[in-house]
Amino acid sequence: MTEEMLSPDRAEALILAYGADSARWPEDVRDALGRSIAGNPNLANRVAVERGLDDALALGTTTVSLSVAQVLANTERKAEHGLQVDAHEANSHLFERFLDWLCFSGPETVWRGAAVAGLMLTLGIGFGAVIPEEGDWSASEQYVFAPITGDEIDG
Amino acid sequence: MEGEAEAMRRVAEGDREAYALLVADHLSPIAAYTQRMTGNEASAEDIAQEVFLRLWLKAADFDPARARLTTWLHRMAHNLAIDHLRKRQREAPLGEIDPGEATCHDASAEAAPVLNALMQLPERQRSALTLTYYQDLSNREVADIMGLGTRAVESLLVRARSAMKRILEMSHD
Repeated sequence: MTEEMLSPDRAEALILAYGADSARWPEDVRDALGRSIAGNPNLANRVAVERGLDDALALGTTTVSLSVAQVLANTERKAEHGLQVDAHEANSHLFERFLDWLCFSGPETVWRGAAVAGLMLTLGIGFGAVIPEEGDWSASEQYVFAPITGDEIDG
Repeated sequence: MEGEAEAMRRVAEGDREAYALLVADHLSPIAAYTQRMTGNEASAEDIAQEVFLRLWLKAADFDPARARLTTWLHRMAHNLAIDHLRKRQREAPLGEIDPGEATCHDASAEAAPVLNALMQLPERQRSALTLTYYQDLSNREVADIMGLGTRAVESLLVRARSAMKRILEMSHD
C-alpha cells in the first residue's frame, strides 16, 4: 500500500513512534511519510526534535561478553537431559503464568490475596451447592458436640 | 532465508557445525537484547544461553515460511526476559524493586545514562523501543515478537520515546 500523502496527524504519530531515521519507518508508509514531511515545516521541525532522541539512543551501546564457545559448551552439557529439563520447567512455570495472568503486572501482593480469597469463596459456594444433603445432619452434629457438653446420646 | 532454512534443517538433524554457525551469527544481537531488557549481565547471559539451548532442542519446530530465524529467536528471548522480569518483581518486596538491578556498571560514561533511562521504562515500552531501535526489526516483526498488533506497538513506541526524552532531560538537570 503506497499512499500519496499522509494526514498531518498520522504523519506526526509515525514520527513520534519511529523517530527521524527513515530506515526505521514502516515500509508501507515510508515514501508517503517522506513526502508529507517535505511539504510540511511543522513535521520537519518534529523530525529535528526526534533526531535528538535518536542521537541520544545511539549512545546506549552494550558490550556482550558471552562467547560462542560458552554457548556451545552450555548446550553440550544441558542437551543431554534437555528435554526432561524443558518439560519440568514448563510445568513449574504453569502456576507462575497463571498468577501473571491473574495479577497483571501491577502491585501483585494486593491483588493476589484478594484473588486467592475470592477463589476459595467460589470453591466453597460451588461445593456447597453441588454436594447433596444426606439424612438428618442434626444427629451427626450431636455426636460432634457430645464430648464437649458431656451429654448422653440416645441410640 | 533459504540458507537459514537449510541450516535449521541440519541443526534439527543434530549437525553441530551448522548449530555453531547459527550461534555465531545470532549471539550478539540476542545477548544485547536480553541485556537491555534485564539490565543485568548475568541474567542476560542465562537467558541468551537458554535461547540457544532451545534453538538446538527445538530446531525442528522452526517454520521459515512464518518468520525469519532472528524473529523466532527474538520471540523466545522476549518471552524468557518477560518471565524473568516478572519473577524478579514477584520475589522483590513491594517498593524494593530496583528497575535496573545492577545495570550499567560496566557501561561507558556515555552509555550509562541512556541504559539507565531505558531500564526505567515499563517492560513493554522498553521491549518495543529496543526491538525497533536497537535490533533493527520491522514494525511487523516487532508486533509478531510481542504478540501485538502494529498499532499497539506504535502506541508503546510513542509512550516509550516520550518517557525517554523526559528521563534524559531530568538526568541532565
